[in-house]
Amino acid sequence: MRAEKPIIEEETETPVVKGKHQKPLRNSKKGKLLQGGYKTSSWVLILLFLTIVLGMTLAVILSAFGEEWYGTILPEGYTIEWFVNAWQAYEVGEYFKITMEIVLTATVISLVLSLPTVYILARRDFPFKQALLGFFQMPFTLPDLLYAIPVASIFYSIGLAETMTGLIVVNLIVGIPFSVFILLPYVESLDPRLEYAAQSLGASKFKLFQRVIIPQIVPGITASAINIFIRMFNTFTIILLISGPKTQTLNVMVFSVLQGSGSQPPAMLNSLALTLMIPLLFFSFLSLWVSSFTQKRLGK
Amino acid sequence: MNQEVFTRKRDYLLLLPSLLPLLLLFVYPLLKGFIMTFQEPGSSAMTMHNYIEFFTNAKYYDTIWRTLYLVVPAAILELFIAFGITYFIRGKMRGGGLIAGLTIFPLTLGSIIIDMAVIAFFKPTGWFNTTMINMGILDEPFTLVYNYWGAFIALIILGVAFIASNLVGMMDSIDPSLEKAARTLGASHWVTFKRVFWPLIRSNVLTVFALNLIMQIGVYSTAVIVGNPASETRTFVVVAFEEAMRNFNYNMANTVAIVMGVTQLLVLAIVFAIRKRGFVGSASTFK
Repeated sequence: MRAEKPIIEEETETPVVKGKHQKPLRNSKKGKLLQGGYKTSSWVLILLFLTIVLGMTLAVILSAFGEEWYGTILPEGYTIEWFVNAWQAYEVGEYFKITMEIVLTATVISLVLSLPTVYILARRDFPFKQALLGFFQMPFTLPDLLYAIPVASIFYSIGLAETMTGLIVVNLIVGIPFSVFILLPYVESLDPRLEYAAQSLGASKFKLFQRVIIPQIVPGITASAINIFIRMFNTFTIILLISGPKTQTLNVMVFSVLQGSGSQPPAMLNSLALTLMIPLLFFSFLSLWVSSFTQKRLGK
Repeated sequence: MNQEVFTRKRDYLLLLPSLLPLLLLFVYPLLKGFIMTFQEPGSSAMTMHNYIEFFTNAKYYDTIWRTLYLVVPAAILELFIAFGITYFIRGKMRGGGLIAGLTIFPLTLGSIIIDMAVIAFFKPTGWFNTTMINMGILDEPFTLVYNYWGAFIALIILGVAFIASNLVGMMDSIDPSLEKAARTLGASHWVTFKRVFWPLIRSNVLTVFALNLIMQIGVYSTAVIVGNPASETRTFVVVAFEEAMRNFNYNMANTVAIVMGVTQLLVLAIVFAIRKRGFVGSASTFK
């Protein structure tokens, strides 16, 4: 419960500060009272907030797994029927497949396109490097609505909207700069002497990438790929604007259902929303596992 | 180390594979979008009509106040809650990691699940209202969903999680010996906080506050799912989507987006003006 070190408590009588300064508060009764009040109110704040967070999460999970739940403290029975119903009624499997296709393709394309840039950024200094880095930061710092609306209007006029290609392409807007920033530290930490050696032995640029650079950053690429994947899985605004009825990602589909269905039982809607959690939890654990694995391998 | 593998000018062509798609998919739409706001649908003549419409029609200009009225109080409250929690658990407090983890946990759930969770917990027959009625605090259920308060609560949960996730690291990066020095010299907890800790973390806290505020000005799914998007939580993004997807008026939709962007910039400018009047820098140097 105590945040302080015991040393502090021993220093109760310090003649140095007395004198013209005011008396230290912490010896007085008032000081102790204030300290106690601060501790109590902090605990009240923490408990209140965590109760609400955990209560909310529990409530939505119980509701998704509960049979009948109206006005009682707990549901009357538990079932997975809502999940089965929701998955069948809204073809969750189908949308999950579409989402995976879009996100996987976009992840691979972003990594391939950003790798040469990352290499130049890591190895070379040039006049506008900082400006270029700033530019790469813009797509994920600017509000996405600012480019999403014109992109949607352009895509509708050239017929790319509501197609798989279109959905993959819009994911690159955030995917490329994001993967530049994630890969950069990995490439910067490579030893350039290996590259000099390879080149002095007559390796071409392509061979250099293929045989020297890429094998060294495989752990980095894996970790980045998972992060980019999670990021793209959550892309929302722009997909919502250009998605068609059959080409939607999972979270856009769930959002559209939640937005427009007052007649469905809430338990079914809750189970549909919770479906979104499963792939994300899976990939978060995968990312944690990969990063700890690579750290062990690299001996950090 | 004066030898370089990539020395020639031609090597800068390697920047192109990532720059070209971004120029095409990001810069061009951004510029086109800006021009679009000065045009009417279906014509290319330049006009201020969209902006005039925005600032004279209550249907549009109301969204500025509605968004700020929802987001600004929420952001300030979030800052206090998150700061209170993370300040209390900083250092080597037992269980601090668990508390931090649970506070940040809503971020992993994402906005849609949090919205549904707020509905499940705060609806008239949910745990919150049943508990309050059983304890005799309320006589009848308090309507906390599908209105201003529903969106407010959902924003608070996500905002506290976001701010806390940033503050935890920042608090740990402040050298604890600075505080210890102040305490051994006789400063009380409050004085140590006010004179040592707060000045060191102030600029970072304000940055996180500004980031969170900007993110929440763009609130959409929360405003639609737990709020009342027809009136009380009619935020910028709700109106922009309505124009783009229901009326297919991309010009007006982008005008709304531009006004939103300008509002965010103004907020950023205000917070950074406050931030500039104090110490800006690192406090972890002499560890």
